[in-house]
Amino acid sequence: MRVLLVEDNDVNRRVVREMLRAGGIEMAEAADGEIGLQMIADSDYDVVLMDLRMPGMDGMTAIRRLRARGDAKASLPVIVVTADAGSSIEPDCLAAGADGVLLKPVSMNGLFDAIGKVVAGRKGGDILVA
Amino acid sequence: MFAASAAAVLATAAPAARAFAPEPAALAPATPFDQRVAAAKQAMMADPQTALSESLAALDAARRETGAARSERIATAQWLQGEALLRLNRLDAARPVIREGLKAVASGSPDSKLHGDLLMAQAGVLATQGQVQPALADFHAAYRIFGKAGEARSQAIALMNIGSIYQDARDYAKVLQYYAQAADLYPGDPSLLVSARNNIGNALREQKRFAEAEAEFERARAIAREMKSALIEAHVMANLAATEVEHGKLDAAQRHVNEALRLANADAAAREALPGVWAVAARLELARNRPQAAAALAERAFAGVDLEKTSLLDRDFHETAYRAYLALGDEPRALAHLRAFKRLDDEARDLAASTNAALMSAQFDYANQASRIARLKASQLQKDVELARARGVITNVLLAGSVVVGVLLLGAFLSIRRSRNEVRDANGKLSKANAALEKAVQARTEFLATTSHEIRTPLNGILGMTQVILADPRLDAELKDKVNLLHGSGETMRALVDDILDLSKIETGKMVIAAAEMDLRKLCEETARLWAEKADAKGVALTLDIDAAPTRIVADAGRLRQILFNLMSNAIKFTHEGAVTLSVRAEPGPDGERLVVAVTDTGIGIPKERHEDVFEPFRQVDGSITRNYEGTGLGLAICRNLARAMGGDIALESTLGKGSTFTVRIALQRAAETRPGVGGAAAESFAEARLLLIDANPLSQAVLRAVVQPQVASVEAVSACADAAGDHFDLVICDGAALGDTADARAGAVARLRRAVAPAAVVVLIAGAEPGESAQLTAAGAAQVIAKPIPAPMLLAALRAGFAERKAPVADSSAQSRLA
Repeated sequence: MRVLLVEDNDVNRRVVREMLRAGGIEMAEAADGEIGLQMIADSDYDVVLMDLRMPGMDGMTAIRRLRARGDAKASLPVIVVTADAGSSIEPDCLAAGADGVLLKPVSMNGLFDAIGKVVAGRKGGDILVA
Repeated sequence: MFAASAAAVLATAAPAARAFAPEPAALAPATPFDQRVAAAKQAMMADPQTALSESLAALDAARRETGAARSERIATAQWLQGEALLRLNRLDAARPVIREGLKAVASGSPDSKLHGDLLMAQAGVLATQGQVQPALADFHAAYRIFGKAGEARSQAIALMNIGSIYQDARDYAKVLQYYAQAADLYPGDPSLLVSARNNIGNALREQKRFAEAEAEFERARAIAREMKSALIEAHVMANLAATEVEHGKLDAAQRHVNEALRLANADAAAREALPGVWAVAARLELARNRPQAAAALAERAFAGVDLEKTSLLDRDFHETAYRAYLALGDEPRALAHLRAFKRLDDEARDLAASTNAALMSAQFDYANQASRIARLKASQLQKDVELARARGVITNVLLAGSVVVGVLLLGAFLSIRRSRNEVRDANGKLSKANAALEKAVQARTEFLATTSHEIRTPLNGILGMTQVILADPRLDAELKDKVNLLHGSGETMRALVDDILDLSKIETGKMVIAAAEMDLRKLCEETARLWAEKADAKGVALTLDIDAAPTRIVADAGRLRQILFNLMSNAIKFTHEGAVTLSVRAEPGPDGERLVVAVTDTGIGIPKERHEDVFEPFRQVDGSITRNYEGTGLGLAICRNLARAMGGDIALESTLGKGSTFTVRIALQRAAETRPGVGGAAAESFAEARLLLIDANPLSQAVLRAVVQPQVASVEAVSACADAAGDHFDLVICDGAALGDTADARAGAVARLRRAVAPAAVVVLIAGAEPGESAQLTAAGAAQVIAKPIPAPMLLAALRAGFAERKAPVADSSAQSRLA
């Protein structure tokens, strides 16, 4: 299980890294959308966690670009992790192609539930992770 | 002679009074009918009540006649009766009388002056009722009939009445047009002429054409002098002075104010003009930067006057007084006058807006007619041109023709555009204030959203790390306690940010209530369980009373949870001994069933006078208490708003020192009861099952949850067997790693778990089991042992099978209990 976190705030990168470690999940990091897209092109991930407001390419643009890819990676599960609590954020993200939205501060349960949901959903639930 | 009252006709800002059709004094009356008619006309302006009884007497006399003029005389009496009723503001009585008179005259003598008079009376009633368009049509019809009857004076009055409607609509260009036409048409009557000149002056002043306005007032003044009416002259002088103040000609204004004062004090009748003159004098003082003097005048004029009941005539004076008092720092008085000004200004604007809206369609009609006429004339000219060309005398006709067509079309076009623009302006002014308010709210919402984002980002660091630390099994108890405290404070801060955003959403109408089918009892049980520990720690009993609660309802579960959470949090916070009870039931209401959620405590209570305060944001009962009881202070405000958004409200009953009950009543919509009581008897199908997952790995726990959640009624999860307890589960799925490191340890753990969660069946999900372990675990009490990894569909099939087996032995007892 490989997760890519795209997030500009290093404290929050560390928080997610520590949380995922508790679930035995390895995490790669990117500081903005552009770097994130490059990393997705270069290696394989199971889930992408995406912040929205970032210097350089923002999260919404990155999701749209990812979904516009012509290959299998275009359907990579993306969970938005944002501190933006506006009422239109969730519908906007889902419209852009996100699979789920988490509001910061993120709870550990919320984070794993969201990952569990997209993994079970995307893979048709073929395997239960040990 | 029936000249309209000078004060009304000469009014500055007030809608002009509609003139009663005056006529030259009649010859000495001969018959009783003629006497009554003369008496009614005499009394009409000053004493309409007398005019009414005289007109009824005239009607009586006319009905007793037998001659050829009988029906016309009856109609004459009806006209006077209608005019009198109109003046007494008995509009509903006036209309049928006038209509009857009109019916007789329209067939008998359609081109008579009486027909015009009756139409004018009807128009007066319609205009007073705000039916501007038909009123206008009647005034126009009356104007045409007076023309046929050769009654120029009455024609002029009809035109002035039309002008006064446009004055209501603040369409000053039209006002000018009609009054100027009236003045040209009948210059022989000084009382009409002075009124026309004065109103023309006012319209010009409104259009900031000050020099022309001043010239008009000078003309009006000359006529008033000839009439030897000090009252009218004083009014005209005041209007002239007011124009000069606006024009910046303060010395001339001072001269004319002095003159107006002298005239107004000249005789008893003229004193009526005094308040108007004082108003202008005050305005002049203010323009001269002498607010003290202006205020003194206002004081004199408004002495003993209820500022909430002044009329449109006083609007400008209120504005002057407001400015004067404001300059003097007398804010209470300034405010009182500002309120009065605003009230009257709104009144005037409403009148203008409604009149304008009513006029719009009428003006479109006129404009369309005008453009049709223009087109007809254009085609006529085209023919003329062709004819002329045929004759070989093209010369100037072509040029002149095209110019005329152009002017006519332009006129029609401008008239359409203006009427549209004016209505838009009137509405625009009204909506501008709303737009400004909306903008301010919008700005604050944006500010809150940004602040929320900026607080959440570091909060994510704090709460994220405390969670990571608390999840670390190496953490010792003492340190865990401290980190818990840190985490709790962070959660409170997050709740504060959430609550503030929620309030902002409620204010901007962005709070969405998303109703869906939900399990109410389960929600109540979850809430109670959430607060049980805290209540227990304080030594407060927590009771759940949901026997009378519906189970499946259609509501917004998240928002309902928020209400329950806030009420429970509050009750436990302010209770130090005794009990907190959450009771839920359905009750009949006036508009159908209502859901009643009540949280009762035996806490500190709330004094009666503060009952309303607790629902206001950031209010706790007193400042000192705020420090003793942490919290956002927004919970109850949000509860109330949510309750109202759900079609209900919240109520409070409380006795100081004894306790409080908060009761939320909202509209109840029951769902079809497809799944019987999840909170009660054991589940009968897998879909009704309540599951508990035990898995130390948060990811595999999450994936497992994602797989089973859609198939069952509820899923709870813990990360260690030690945390698994309770008799409210049907099935417990435990990961082998959570049971222990060896087969023996795992078997022992299964046996203990089985007891802790009885009567639930225990399913073990295990990777890398030792040989023979499956049988060992089954012997220890596991209903099933499933090896993983396993595809989700197979896992679900196995769980269903396990559930069915578990169900079999209890089926009989549940059937029995149902029979009993």
